[in-house]
Amino acid sequence: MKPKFVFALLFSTLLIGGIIFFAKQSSQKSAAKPLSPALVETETAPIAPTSIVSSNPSKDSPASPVIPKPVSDEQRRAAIDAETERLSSWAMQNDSQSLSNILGDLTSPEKEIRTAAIEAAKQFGNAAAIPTLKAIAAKDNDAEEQTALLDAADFLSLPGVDLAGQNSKTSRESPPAQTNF
Amino acid sequence: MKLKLTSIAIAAILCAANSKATILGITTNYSKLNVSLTVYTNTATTTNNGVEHTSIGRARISNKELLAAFADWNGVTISNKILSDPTWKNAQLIYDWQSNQVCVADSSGTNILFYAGTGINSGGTNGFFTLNWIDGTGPFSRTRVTTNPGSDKFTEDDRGFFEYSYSNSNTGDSTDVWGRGGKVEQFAQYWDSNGNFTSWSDSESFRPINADNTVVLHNENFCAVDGTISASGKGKGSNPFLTPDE
Repeated sequence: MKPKFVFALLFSTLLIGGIIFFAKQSSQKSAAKPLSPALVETETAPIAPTSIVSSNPSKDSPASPVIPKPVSDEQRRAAIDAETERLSSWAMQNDSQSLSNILGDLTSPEKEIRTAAIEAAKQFGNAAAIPTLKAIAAKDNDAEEQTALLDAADFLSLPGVDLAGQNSKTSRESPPAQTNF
Repeated sequence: MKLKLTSIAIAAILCAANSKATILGITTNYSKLNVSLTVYTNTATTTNNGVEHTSIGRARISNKELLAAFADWNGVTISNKILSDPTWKNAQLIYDWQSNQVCVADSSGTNILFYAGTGINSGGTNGFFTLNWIDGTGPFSRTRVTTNPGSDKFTEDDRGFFEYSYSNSNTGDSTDVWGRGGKVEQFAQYWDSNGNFTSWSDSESFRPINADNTVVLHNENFCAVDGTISASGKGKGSNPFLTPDE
């Protein structure tokens, strides 16, 4: 009777411990998932503000454990080109992660990336991007960029023309087949 | 024996599937193209208590709409989001500086699946997408470093032209959307200490606009169009079209 009781006690302790362990693991994992454009930006943007606009990394500040490395013009150019390339690739997809990545880049510290992200949002062709485009436009101090954001929102509010020959008469204002070209 | 035959059959099917994918050409000098056009048409007139009302409808044409049309012209069908020709998956619009026209390229950008400028004319389908970056030449600013190594950078204001044309004699459907407008080009060419061209980069920003009885969308004329067509790219050596001769 006694060994059985001890065994049952040990088993239930292990079981509860296991449940707590797995619960912690899964909560950490879900916290790491990209939930909003802002979070996606932090995760996916390969060039964080500190690395790309590293103004003057103080070399004599030993208290700081991480010293941002100075980035050469070539490295900065390469990083912008790489992100622009990714944006044009995401633009041709139809999944929510690609859209999330595009919207994340709308607030990139690099104007060139922001411009490419606006174009990518237009090419992605999903009206779900409209609220984000409008919200960023409302906070934007750059008049030219603000116009581009609002133009993109307006463009996305339109139906796509069915240019393809088939069914053109009946579904000319329906969006094109959502396929990853 | 049965297993061997099955393997041979599978291999034959795979070969047949791959053979459908046709690479029409290869380019090493191209720019990625972005098309964002708005087409304006009249909607049907409504009458309410003796008051007639007609309004303007708008719809967009972007890369995806164009790719869907070009796929259709080439007999590439879409079923449950699956393309009948897998080569067209992740296909993209490019401007090929070697053939000097808009093309559909595969995901690599270098393998050309369709020359949209040349277009198609078969089985009653007649279609093309023309893009002329320099329909008229305007002023430019330029900085040339004439030493070796050196560079030639210029920004030029031109007039551009585009036309999307489609007609199908079987269905009677016809579309002709075209426009002209200002275009800004920013080009740079670099060369090394021996005077050999090393690389080029280019960006084109074209803002077409048009309203005319010859602007037709699915047999409806008196349409209008505006928007942007832009391209940016870079390559090694010289650009076959943009690098100046001198």
